[in-house]
Amino acid sequence: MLAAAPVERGSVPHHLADARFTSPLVELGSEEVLLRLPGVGRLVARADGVVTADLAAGVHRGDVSCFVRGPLAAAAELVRGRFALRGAAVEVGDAAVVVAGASGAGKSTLAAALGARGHRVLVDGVLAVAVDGPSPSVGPATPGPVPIELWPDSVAVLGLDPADGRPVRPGSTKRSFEVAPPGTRNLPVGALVLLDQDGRVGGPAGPPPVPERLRAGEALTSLVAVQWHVPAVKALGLALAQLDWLAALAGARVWRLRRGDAWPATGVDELVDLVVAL
Amino acid sequence: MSGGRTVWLASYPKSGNTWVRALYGAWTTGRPPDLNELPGGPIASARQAIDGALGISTADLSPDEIDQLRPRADEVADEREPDVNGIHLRKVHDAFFLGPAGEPVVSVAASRAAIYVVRDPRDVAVSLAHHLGQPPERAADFLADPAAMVAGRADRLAPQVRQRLGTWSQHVSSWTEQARVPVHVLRYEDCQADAADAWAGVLRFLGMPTEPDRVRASVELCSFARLRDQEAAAGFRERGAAQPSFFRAGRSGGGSTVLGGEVAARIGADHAALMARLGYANGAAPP
Repeated sequence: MLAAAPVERGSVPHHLADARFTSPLVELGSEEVLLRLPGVGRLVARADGVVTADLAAGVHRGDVSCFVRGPLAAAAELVRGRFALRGAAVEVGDAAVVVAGASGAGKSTLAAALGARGHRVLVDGVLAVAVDGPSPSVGPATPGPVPIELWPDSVAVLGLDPADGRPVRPGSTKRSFEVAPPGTRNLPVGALVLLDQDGRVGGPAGPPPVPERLRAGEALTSLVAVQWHVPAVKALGLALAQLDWLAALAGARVWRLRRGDAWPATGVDELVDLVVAL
Repeated sequence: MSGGRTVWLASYPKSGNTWVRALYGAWTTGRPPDLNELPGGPIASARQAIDGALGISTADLSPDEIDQLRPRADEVADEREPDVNGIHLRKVHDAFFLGPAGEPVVSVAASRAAIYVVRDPRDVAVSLAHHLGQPPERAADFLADPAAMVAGRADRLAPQVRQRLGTWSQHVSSWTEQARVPVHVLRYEDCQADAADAWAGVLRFLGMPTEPDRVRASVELCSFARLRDQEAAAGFRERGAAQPSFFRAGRSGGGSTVLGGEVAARIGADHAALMARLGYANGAAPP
């Protein structure tokens, strides 16, 4: 997994010569992936796992780790035929609870809150779920500390000291906190939680969320929505493999949890209780 | 018409955008619109849609960086999303402004046209106040704020990316006075007075059929009473959490009375030029 890949500065082309999928920011080749970010630079992940960064003036290698850990790592998994969710995984008992969802759904906050209750965080960000065993399983993205990125409102609610984290990028209010290394073992997925948000504006916190068990069909379509690089799947000839992967995931216990707009000021502890009980 | 398939359904918030989406849905299908599956969605500023189109996390980008990339997300959506009636209708609340690289925040290349829905700002203020659970004075402040935006907080991540609105007048001018995307101005009040005629005007602008029976039928399917009953039966996820209902009254011209003389007069002064041009001046019901 690319999450802990070293980043070297060097020259990176504007396009991949063997690009099989091209979009405004991302190109996927046979073995390499390219990410173009206007104003930031270009990053390429090579087959040997090394990341080369051709950065704009004033941009440092440390400033792009979020892009390496996120979209670049997910694209590198896809080129290797592996699919990844936008999600986090936390050890609960003898299994892993996967929390997947769109940006801002609260995955990292929930993972950090579970971590504060003593559950080890395995991954946060790009979640490659293996389905080649008897049941879906997840493992740590890196043997080292797991970075969890939190917005100021979550930092405050979780009682963290902002000084213990570092800005994800210069000027960003989002901060990255490192939690203890999770070890190396893979764990079976005990439950998969699709964390959703109400999306409405304003008003008081509503009643606490109720987990909704999803049937396989609804789980499958919901999982597609939180997968990385969906448009590239067909271009890489992986559509059938994706269907198999989604079907295996959807066969696990998949729940939807919809949290209100008052999150995280309210609801974090309740959601942790719900997830642990699943 | 311009080059892409995207037809923007643009408006300042609380100006009738949802009703026009419902009308379009009813005209397309000949059936009552499903409030929670209206055409035109997701809104152009929906974070999940932008992330999916670009393959990144906008959470890792600054608002200015996102503004610079949004036209690319529009172009991906224009290319990939299925069209209906030959167009790709998309709701947008952003003002038509230039991003940091000098390019409009909506993609001109992806745009075929725009329908700009405008409403008396006094009625907008009343509706905005209800939607947000705020007093009318705060709504008037918002309409007059050149830095007004939606989803602009830096301490948390919203489901939508930042949308710069400007003042109500700036918003209206930005869309109606730009020359990059052909625009049809649709007054909410004209829809109230004669919805069939107003809707037929939109269809003519888009080059779509205007058979009177079909137009009349779609208008009947979207009467305010019907939409309110639908919301009561099935809910409406775009309702503000502070509101008991989204479809409240649907009236026009009552803003001055509801707001009170001072706030109404203030809005009238803040936006005098545009209000006069659009027929909203002097507190009179529009012609």
